[in-house]
Amino acid sequence: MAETSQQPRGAQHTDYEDRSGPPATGWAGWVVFGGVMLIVVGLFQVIQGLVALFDDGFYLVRPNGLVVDVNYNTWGWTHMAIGVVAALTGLGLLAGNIVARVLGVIIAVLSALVNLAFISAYPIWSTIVIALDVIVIYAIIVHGRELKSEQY
Amino acid sequence: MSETTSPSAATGTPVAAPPPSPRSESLLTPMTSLPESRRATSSVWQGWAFFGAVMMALLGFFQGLLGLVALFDHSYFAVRTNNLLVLTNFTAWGWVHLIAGVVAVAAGVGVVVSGRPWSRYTAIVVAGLSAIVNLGFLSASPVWSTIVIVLDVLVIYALTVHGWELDRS
Repeated sequence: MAETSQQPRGAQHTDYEDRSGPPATGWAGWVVFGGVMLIVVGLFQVIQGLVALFDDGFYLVRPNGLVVDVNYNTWGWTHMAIGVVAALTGLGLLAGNIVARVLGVIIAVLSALVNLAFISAYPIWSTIVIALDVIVIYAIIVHGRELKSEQY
Repeated sequence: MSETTSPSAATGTPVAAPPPSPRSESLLTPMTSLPESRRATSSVWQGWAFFGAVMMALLGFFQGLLGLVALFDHSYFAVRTNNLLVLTNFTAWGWVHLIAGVVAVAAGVGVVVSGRPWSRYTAIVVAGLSAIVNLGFLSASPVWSTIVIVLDVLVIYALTVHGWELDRS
């Protein structure tokens, strides 16, 4: 007969926690969150790069006020490159690519470092990007195994 | 013995009672140590996913309000650099924010009304776009835009990590 051990872990009896976790339908779970956040980080950084290339009067300091004293064109292309790679890696994470996990962590770390060096140009932007990078790294590392357990 | 019931992913019926009995009889069976909720399993407005949807509507209101302020009272903003990004005047930015806010409210309400996957994905995309739009406007209103970006991240979290809770029935 139906025994009490239907939920061996003694979980709460809320309805939706009966499931063992997010089903393997698209766009579910922490990895998807990490992927979407990585895309957002990439787009933020592309914006930073575009501003550096086309409107660097917007930034608060001149290049000699930055940690790495190169002109804003170089900074702009750097940001664009990292941003594009981050956005593509985010798409890869959404597609369930295993390589995207490792690459996502690497690019998030790189993005955080670059933004830390760039922080005096526009502190609040860099701070937001760094915070989002931390969130991405958390999502991928702590919850990345969901990627392998689901059949994408 | 063998348990023929496999609760977890199969059906929507929760733990407790043997099949034919309604929920009210579950109190009589000494099944679990936790008190069984006698409330009917309502899916309305419960859980992180609905929190995300309500937050989406809230951030839509914030953003719409930002747009209205930009349209009608733009001396409110402290534009330190006197130099907005991309769009050169507050009227244009105001319309962008107003439209983005309306779209965000619609997306949030859409997720509440129908928890379908497509409405969730739309809301996720809208939240991402809203974050980008607010990043551009940060120079004019740093605190407000930062709050909206934080809410965007929260909405994306709620809908991606917990969106599956809406896949019921």
